[in-house]
Amino acid sequence: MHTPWPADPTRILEEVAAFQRKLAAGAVNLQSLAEPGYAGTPRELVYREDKLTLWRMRAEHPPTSRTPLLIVYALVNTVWMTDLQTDRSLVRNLLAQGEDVYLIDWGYPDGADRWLTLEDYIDGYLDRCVDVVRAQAGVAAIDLLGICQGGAFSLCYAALHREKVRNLITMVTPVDYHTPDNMLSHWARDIDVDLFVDTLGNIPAALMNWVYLTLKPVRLLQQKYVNLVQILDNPRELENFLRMERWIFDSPDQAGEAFREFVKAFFQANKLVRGGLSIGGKPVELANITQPVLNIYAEQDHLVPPDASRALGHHIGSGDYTELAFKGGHIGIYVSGRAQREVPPAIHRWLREHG
Amino acid sequence: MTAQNPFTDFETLGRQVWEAWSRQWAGPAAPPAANASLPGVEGLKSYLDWMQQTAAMAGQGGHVSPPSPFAGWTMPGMGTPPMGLDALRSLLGTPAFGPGREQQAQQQALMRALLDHQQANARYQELLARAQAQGTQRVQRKLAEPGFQVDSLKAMYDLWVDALEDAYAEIALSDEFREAYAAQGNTQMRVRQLQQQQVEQWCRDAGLPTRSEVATLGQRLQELRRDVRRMQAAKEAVAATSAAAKAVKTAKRRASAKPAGSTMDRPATRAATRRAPRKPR
Repeated sequence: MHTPWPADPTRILEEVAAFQRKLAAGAVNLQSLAEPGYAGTPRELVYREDKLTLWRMRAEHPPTSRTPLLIVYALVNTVWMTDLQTDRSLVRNLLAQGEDVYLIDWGYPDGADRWLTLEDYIDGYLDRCVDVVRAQAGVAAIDLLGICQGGAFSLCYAALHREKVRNLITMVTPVDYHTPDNMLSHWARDIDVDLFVDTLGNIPAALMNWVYLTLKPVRLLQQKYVNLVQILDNPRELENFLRMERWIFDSPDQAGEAFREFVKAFFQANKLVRGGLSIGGKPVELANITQPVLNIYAEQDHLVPPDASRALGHHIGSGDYTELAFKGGHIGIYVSGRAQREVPPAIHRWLREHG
Repeated sequence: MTAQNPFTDFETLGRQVWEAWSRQWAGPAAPPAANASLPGVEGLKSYLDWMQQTAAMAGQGGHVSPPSPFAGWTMPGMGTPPMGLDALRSLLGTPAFGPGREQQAQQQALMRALLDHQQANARYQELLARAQAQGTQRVQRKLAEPGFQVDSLKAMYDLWVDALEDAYAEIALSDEFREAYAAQGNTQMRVRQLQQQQVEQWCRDAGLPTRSEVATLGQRLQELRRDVRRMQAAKEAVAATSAAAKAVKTAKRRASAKPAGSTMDRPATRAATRRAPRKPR
């Protein structure tokens, strides 16, 4: 009879012993580790409004690029994914390439921010940040790098304010929300978002995280922590793991009204590609995006499937559209070793070609 | 799951593992090295039990419930009511009357919402159980493949996780799951909303400010801020237009004062534009 199990008990005992060693070492390692910090690339406060902070990131050498690059992150989680740790930092690598990098930290909305709308975020906060960066650099238009939901914001902004955006880069940005493999969007379709926002006000970060975790429940809620045992005896890897855990769970609530509008217009009605989207009463049409666009997507992205991103090419008005496929996932595109080698140089090269 | 099923306590085992781990890592005051091996053994035992159960489950079938997407978003008293209360539904539809009409209507609405949530939750759990069963079948099929060999306990566990996730993904992308998922969340929010309304009523009765009142203030304030921004923008636009018009006017004046041609013409132009002397009073 076929027995798929290893017949050798010695091997099982070895596995058990190795597990025990790692567990014992891990106890010591865990207790000796402090709260892991992010990369902490030097930065300068440029502008502050409500909970938002606009930072100019500093390199050891002055930037060679004359046009600033503003990173627009999602409202979900924090922008520090782009500057997670010294050897895994999109920001540091872009600075090293000579880019003049600014980034928006949206902050942590509380009850006072519950009524912020997409107009407040895109035509308000983002527009004023762009104006500040333009004024500081003394240029009429800047380069935008939008990430995930921040990419959707950047698309709306570029369509509304063409004169202020020279080049547009989108990373893991959903454009067509109704591709068949988009589980998150599939689930959101029948959610009564009015009821959620009217009841909860701001949408708690813990609820958002829980939904993301249940996209792959056994892998993300169990296997990940079982696998943790394998690295418990390695302080450096353990620290990296804990840093990522901090980033995942130290996330902001979502301002209620903006969340309501975003889910309805983007997730449910798919207006970015179907049309009919308006921000603050102004129509937003991707066809109005005529700037050069670089669209970077991750091939193994379970949150934003590649097809959801690649749809951009079919809808923008720009004749200068480039796609870059990255072999990795939604987070790996920032923190993997491959990402460090491939993504920032590709962005820099493309920007130089469009300077 | 039944008592005959050897995997009845799968969840309990899982919990034991995590509890053992929690004890292992709990408290900064725990002696770091002296006791390291003892809890380590305890944690290991639970872990191995858990792994063995997982492996056995793959061969014989069983279920472990992935968590509800909205677990933890409940309020006191929001637990699932016992089964068999469906008959109450028609009774709860009875119109309320009398001096306590409003309170009774609220209570009835809350009870109906709880029943709806119970129903939605049962449907959702049924789909999760289906995903688990299909995941197990996948593992069984894999293990039955000729020549297939699992090298270690960990490999067995990983195989089970992959199979379960694949089965879950297939079901989670179905229309049936989408509806069940939404209903689970929506009914839960409805219960929460009705509970909040009752709490607000109590607060109003006690003369305390309510969340709705604070929200209304916030909404008005945000609208006011938008109005101020628009007015500022309009003011700046007017100022910019005015400055531009002034600049054009100045430029025109300069242009008319400086006709093309020789600088020799200047004195004549100046003379021509000079004001006539005032008449003496």
